[in-house]
Amino acid sequence: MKDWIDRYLYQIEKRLPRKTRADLIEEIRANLYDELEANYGQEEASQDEILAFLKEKGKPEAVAASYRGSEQALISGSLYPVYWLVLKIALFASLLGITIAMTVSIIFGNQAPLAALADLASGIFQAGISAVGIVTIIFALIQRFMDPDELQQETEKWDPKDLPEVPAKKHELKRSEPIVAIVFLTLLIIGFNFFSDFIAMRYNTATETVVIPLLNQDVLAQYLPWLNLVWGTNLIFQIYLLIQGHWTSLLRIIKIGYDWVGLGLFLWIISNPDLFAFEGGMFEWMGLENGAVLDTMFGNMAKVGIAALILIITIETIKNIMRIVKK
Amino acid sequence: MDNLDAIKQNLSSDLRRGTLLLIVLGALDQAQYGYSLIQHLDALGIKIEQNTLYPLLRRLEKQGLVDSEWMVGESRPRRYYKINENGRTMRTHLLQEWTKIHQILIKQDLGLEENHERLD
Repeated sequence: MKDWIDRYLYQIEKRLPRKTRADLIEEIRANLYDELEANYGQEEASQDEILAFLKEKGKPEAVAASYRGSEQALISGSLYPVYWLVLKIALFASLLGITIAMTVSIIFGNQAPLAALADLASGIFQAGISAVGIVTIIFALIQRFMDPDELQQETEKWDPKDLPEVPAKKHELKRSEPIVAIVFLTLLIIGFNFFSDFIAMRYNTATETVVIPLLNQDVLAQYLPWLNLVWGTNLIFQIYLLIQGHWTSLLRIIKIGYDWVGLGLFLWIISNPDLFAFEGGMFEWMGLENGAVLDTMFGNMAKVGIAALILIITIETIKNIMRIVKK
Repeated sequence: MDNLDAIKQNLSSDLRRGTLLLIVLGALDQAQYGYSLIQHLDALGIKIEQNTLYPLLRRLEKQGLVDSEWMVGESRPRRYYKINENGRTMRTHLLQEWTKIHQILIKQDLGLEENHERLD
């Protein structure tokens, strides 16, 4: 019987402000048991009585919201803390990315310093606006489609029997995991969509700086929709994970899927020789002394890197499967 | 009609929200925990939703008008709230405001006295 109360309290707890969460939930718990006792006496209440009691108390979302103050319209109160966190992450990642990219192009470019700074400032401004826009749209969509219960304030339709179980210890989520993933994915999406010619060979001639991108831009453009699809949906997935605050078996299965689809996509793309702007070895093409030797070394390193990547993903997959199977 | 009922409910709760604060401050000269306060107010004839009262107590504490402490001696730990000096000063001020509003309503001659009699 206590299980239903624990489920109910857990759903409230995860929607409370982090700072005061522990204290608040203890008080809510004490009040709940006080009322339960007043209604049903010292003896343990039956399951039906507890369910009726919880229904009368109202939806956990509404209880938590009453402790948070006013609700936001576009992004609801319970989503708001995570929305704010992701917004900060995305802003940080996109500003970092654009600052690095533009600093490099300023160093190697022939722009006048003032014009270059103006470019940087406008770039930062644009990236910031895009980050805010994308994150807000994603959250508005999550609120609209993934959590309709949250929007429905009709408490009479709510049934305590729908309360999910309190997640097991094995499904605990380290918040740093989705946060790192969000930073990384934001950098990838911005990098490949707006600065794909950034990885380039640059050299100065007497009159100008020559920039030759290492990746063939036309070929890359063919793969870009696939990359955006995988990265974009993965970004939504990571944000959803952050909102949930814990893993579930289904989320772990999706994660395994993303890992392998991502790896497959990566191997499929790099296996296309036309993707690279150079033929044969990169260093030889750059005209470096000992280019051929460097190319062989680089080739071997790349193979080791790919093998390591496959190994890491395999280990992650095994870990995830073990946690799904573990009782 | 349903719509009018909903509006009536909304307006009534708007009106109560402000005055509730005064009633709660009036009930905290003695330390009370959440549910004991609900019962206390219930006995006075005011039914208050827990989801309204408990967060209100928290807000009052945050505003420095009441003090709270956990008591662990009973069947389960409970957080007790009690009005403090700031709270009393605020209560006096709010009571003056309340009296002012009451006097204005009397001056407006809206039949307030009759309502009083009916309530009695």
